[in-house]
Amino acid sequence: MSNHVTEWLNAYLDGELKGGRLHQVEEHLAECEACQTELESLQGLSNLLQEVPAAEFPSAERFVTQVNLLLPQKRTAPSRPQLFEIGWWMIPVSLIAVWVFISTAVLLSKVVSAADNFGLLDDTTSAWISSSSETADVTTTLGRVGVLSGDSLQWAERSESYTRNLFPQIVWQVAVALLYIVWLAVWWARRTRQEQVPLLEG
Amino acid sequence: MDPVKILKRAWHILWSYRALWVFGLILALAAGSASSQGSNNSNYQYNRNDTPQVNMTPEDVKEGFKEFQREITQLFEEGIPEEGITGEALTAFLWVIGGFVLFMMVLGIVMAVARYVSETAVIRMVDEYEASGTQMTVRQGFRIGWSRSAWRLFLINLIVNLPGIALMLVLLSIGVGFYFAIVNGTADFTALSVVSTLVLAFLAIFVVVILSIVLRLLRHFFWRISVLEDAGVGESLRRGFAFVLENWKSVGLMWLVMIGLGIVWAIASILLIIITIPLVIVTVVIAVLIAALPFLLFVGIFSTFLAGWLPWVAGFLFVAPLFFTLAFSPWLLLGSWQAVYTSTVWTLTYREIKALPNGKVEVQEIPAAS
Repeated sequence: MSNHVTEWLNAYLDGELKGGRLHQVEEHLAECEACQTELESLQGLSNLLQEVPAAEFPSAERFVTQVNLLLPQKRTAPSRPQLFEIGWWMIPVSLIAVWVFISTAVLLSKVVSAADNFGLLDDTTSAWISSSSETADVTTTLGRVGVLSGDSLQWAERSESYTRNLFPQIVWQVAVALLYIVWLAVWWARRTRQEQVPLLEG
Repeated sequence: MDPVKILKRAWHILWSYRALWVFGLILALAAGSASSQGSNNSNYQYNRNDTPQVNMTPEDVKEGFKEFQREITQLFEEGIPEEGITGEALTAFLWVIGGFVLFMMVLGIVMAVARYVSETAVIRMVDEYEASGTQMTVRQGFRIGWSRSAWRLFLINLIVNLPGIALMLVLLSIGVGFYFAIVNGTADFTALSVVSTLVLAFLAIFVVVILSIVLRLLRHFFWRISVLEDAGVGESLRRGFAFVLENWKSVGLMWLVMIGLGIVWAIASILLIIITIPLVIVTVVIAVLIAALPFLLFVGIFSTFLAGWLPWVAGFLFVAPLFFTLAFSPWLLLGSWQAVYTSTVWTLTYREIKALPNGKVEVQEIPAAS
């Protein structure tokens, strides 16, 4: 008998055929002995495979680990504690944040002082602000003692007051800048050392 | 990415590629004019001990404004008789001042155009130098700088500065609100309202400053993607943001290093300014000699309708930009080096990150030939 359905037998066995194709294969199998034998052979093979216990393959991760263990090992530097590394990078970021914070505070304090100078604030607020402002204590004392008087006392008082306001601002800005430069220098030195280590080892 | 290698390479390019200095000078000039208009960062803090407290009432403020108006009207009607200046001459001087403001506005626009053309030129020249090793001339630089990308850089910069502009507008509106509250007599500056306003203002300024810092960092990449990848404004913003997000470690490291170098440069430039004072004295003399002729020409023209010392002041106003540019040219050159070096570092950083295996930059698909 011609037009064997051998190519469809696997699909028929797995129950994947439908409609006209299923009908065609069933009709052919009813009449063709060769195809019936082939089907029985496939059925037997399938049964045999099901009886064999399934092989235990390792998981993908385990396989990768096993392969890595077999590869020649590269010597790696001991890793620093992660917390220290995060802290190291947070130093410059914190310095920038501190700089922005203090700059904003100074800017606002200028505005408030100006508003207070023009008498825009009530007595309570004004007293609160003036309590935090600097006074010319040294020159006032010198004036009381009699070392300074008149215009020179007034000039000295203004100079002291100005310096007292200006000095902290210079100090904190220089301090932040210096700390940042120290961080940069240490980073540069670490980097240079890391570059030199492979050269020395090589 | 190796930041030290990039810094060293940028240093080498700065000294070996002199044509970039010309564009750096324009950038330094533009930056100088922008900063002089922008911030007046005086460190002086008002103190109650410095000046007696005024304690003005709303009526005082109103009266003060009226008094000021009266004095100005009187000044322009009578002039300054002891100086031989009539009211008409003062009015004419006011027109000259108006003309000067207009002149400065035109100069500002020209400088802005030159700035963005120079930014584009420096980015492209450095990229071309790295890609092919060829150095362009100043003329070639202007030719590649004068492009649509320069306009895009301006638009990107405008977008980046939007938070700052918004903050200025908010603070201005608060100031106007205070002004009307005082003038109308409805002002009630109690401790609670002052403290709450201060806290809100502090938060607003702090957040906007941080946002501006981040946006200014992103701008380096927006600009480079726009210029080197020929991307539009929206596309540059989108791709630049994605680029920085994907390579935030490398970008952040370079940013921190550049801030540190900025501080070092600030200290170094103070020393350099002191060292170059003798040279500046020489350039001031040269500037006086060069600016003298146009100055006298302006004084002669203004003398035809101004009296007293007014023509001299008006003449100086118009010659001042030329004089100061020439007089402080050594310091301008320092600014030029800084501008070129900074731009070169960021161009090299962009190239380096792009070349990294994980430095992904969206590549536009080439349309298939029909």
